[in-house]
Amino acid sequence: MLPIRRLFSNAAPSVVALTAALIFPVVMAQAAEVHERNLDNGLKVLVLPDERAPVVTHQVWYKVGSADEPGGITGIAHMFEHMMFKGTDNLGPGEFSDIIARLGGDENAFTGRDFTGYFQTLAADELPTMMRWEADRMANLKLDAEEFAREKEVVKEEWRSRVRDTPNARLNQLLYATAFASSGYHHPIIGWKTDIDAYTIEDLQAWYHNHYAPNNATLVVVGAVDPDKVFSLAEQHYGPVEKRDLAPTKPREEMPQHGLKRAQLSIPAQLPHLSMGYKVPSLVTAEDSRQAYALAVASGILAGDSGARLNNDLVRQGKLSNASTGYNLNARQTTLFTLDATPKEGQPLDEVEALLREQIERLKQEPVGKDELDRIKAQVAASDVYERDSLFYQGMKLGMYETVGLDYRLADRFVEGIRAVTAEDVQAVAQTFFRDQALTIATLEPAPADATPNQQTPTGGVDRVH
Amino acid sequence: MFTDARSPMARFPGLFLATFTLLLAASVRAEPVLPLETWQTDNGAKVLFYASDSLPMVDARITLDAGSARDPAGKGGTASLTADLLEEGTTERGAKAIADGFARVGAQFSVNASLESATVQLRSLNQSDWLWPAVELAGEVVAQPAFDSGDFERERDRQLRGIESRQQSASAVAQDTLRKAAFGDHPYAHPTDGSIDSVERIEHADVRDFHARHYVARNATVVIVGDLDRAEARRLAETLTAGLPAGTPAAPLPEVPEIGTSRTLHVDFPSEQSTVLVAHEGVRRKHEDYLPLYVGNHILGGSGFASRLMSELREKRGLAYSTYSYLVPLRAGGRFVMGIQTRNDQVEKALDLMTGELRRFIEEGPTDEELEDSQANLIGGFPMRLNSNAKISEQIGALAFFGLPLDYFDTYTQRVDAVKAEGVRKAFERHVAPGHRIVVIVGPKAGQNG
Repeated sequence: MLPIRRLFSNAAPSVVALTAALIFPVVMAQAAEVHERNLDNGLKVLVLPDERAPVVTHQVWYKVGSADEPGGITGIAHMFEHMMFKGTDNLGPGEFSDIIARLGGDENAFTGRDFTGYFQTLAADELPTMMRWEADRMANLKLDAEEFAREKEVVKEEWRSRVRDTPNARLNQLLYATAFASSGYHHPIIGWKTDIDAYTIEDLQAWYHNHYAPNNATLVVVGAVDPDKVFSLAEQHYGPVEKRDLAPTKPREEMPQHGLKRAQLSIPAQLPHLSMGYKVPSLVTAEDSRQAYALAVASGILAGDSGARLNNDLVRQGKLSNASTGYNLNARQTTLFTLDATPKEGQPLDEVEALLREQIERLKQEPVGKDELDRIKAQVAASDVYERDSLFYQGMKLGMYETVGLDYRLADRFVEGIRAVTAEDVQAVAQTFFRDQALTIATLEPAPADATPNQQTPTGGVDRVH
Repeated sequence: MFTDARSPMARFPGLFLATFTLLLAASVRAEPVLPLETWQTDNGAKVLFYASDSLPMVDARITLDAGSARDPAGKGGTASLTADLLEEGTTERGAKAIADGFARVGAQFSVNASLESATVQLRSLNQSDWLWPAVELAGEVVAQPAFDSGDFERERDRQLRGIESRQQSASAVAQDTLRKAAFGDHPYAHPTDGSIDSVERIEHADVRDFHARHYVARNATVVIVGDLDRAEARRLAETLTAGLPAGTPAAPLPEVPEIGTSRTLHVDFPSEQSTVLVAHEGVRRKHEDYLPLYVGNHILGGSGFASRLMSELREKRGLAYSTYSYLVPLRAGGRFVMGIQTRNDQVEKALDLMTGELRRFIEEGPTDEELEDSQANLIGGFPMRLNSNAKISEQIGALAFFGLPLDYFDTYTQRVDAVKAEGVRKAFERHVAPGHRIVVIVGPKAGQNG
């Protein structure tokens, strides 16, 4: 998901899926309208007025993420994101952050597989200041060697806490590295440790030059603003940034998988864990968007809430300690539909796998019940209102859709898309995609900390892949 | 996903009530920042209502003085287990029917215990055929749990698994170790979920007793935020609490003991990075020095990149991804904590630097510029602390729980603005003695590595 510069969770199951639900609501406050403008330099500007408080969120999304990284410099999208706070020709290191802090604002940045984003949230009348300095670092970033050397140490510390010392994050990396061979989803967002160690300032300069241009970005503004004023401010501040011809992104499509893949991880840990993932299309790659919505519903049927199947039929029956699913509807490429579970005390992982597979079989064999479908649709429809309570989330949804190549208007059609899903659709996607030929299973079996000294310390090492 | 990992809420789960209250008020206004209506339900629960028609939805929460500080002696984790079991079945229906009841109407429902309190949260659309079934069900779940023995055994096992899982994290181990050392034999000392030993000691009857004693109206505060009129809000509060006996409020907690002589605790852990936490004395939430300490902490280590610790240890030296300080302002006392996660061989250096920054701060206080920047941040950021129903409901809940005045936000700006650099320095000098501290280091002991 979204590594965030200061705080993020790398291994959590994919977002999205649901929040979903059902039949109804005729309720629905009328959603406000998104205003769109394209600047001559190719920057797309999306504005969503929300007058509830005198506050605005200002977000710039670049269409580049870890999946765009070639071998040898994995993680550089994230390393670069850190360097965006290190000053420009016009501001010293950290000075933009100081300006935001004095204005009472919040800021942060995040790197994902398919995007890199920067945002500030603060009093609406300070929007011009944010635009001025965000546009400045789009064009005039200063990449200083000493700043870089220090920040690289920071990123290594980040890697230590997020990955090296977090067993489930290492298992998640192993799952993706095993499942994906040719696509950019193979390597972790934060990068392989040996690559982090070896970045050079030239690598960063090239990254900046190749990806940070207005024609590769989307500006999203949500809050107490007048769209026309935002457009003219955007013209004023971002307009002068020059458009640049960028090399087209290589397709790097994932080659077809022709058999079940397994991987095992044996490191000091307290609990065993099993992760499995089926290769599935996203809303971007699905031949028919119905398939993606049906997969989102399948995720909800299995683990959308405490009454869903995994919790109700397995955890509550005392068969597993914990179980969850993940599906990222907004992935730019073929992605994984994941199932994760923690066994009960002493329970072998074979048994955990068999229990999860039974659930998958059931989705393939019998149509889901009308009640199950209806409750998911109800949840999705209600969540559509709840989400409007967060300024940031509204902006994130627009930025995310646009950045992965989906029309932002599709974000508003999510409820509609889910509502159209039938029991037959869910059964059909289960039969089509939940096959062993597209499956990867990764397991974590704790090794005793004392008996097996960890030999991977210096570099983070290579987890065994079978 | 975007919560600040350095906030106290992340360190001591359950303290969140404390952290946010800080937040400030905009300018002097004739009208209250948050116009609230307050009353009591028929059985004695306190109610606070804020009407907001910006979205067709309602947030309702019940905060009960039923956190882990109320766990029976030696049975840490009882409050948490009780909260988890509520959704597992009532005298009227099973877990699946409860989950279906909320899901069918798109409602979101949860019950969680923290150190100081247990919180029941319900979010629903305000359309009446969706709202009322959810409210009625929530009232039933809170007041009439079945506490079936099979459910009890299973959930207790899962809580034990959760504790094992927590032990995979050096920072979680550090927090638990610090909490125990810093609070001695006080009820704040044990982890919210308990330990393996304490959870194994919990019996079925303990959960029943805990619920009977603490889930009572006079131990509860109801906060309602959303698109309802006053009559509807009254009906909501009554419905939500109808099944609770009046009961009595929990007795005040004993005072938090002093930290005593300085000591260092090293927990051996197979990690490449060590977590270092340092606890000092501090103050209770309602202490008169709380505000200058809050502003001082903001400058020293509480405001991310704008703070001294971040600047000195991360930005200038690259020693860490994460370094911070925070206040733990509870009802019965408080602590001041600094922390960092760094490569094992840098622990000593990082600890020396943090200690040096604290000493310097107590000797010299903040500069005028630092103070002004910090005040500007707190005051300028005020509108963003109350710009969603979720945040408003959390803030109001905190006001009520700590017994702060309801006009707290109206005067906040002025009070922040009135803080002086010397006042900050003196408050730190009075309450944070660098010579009385507990250091916790979780990582490989010297000579080993990961």
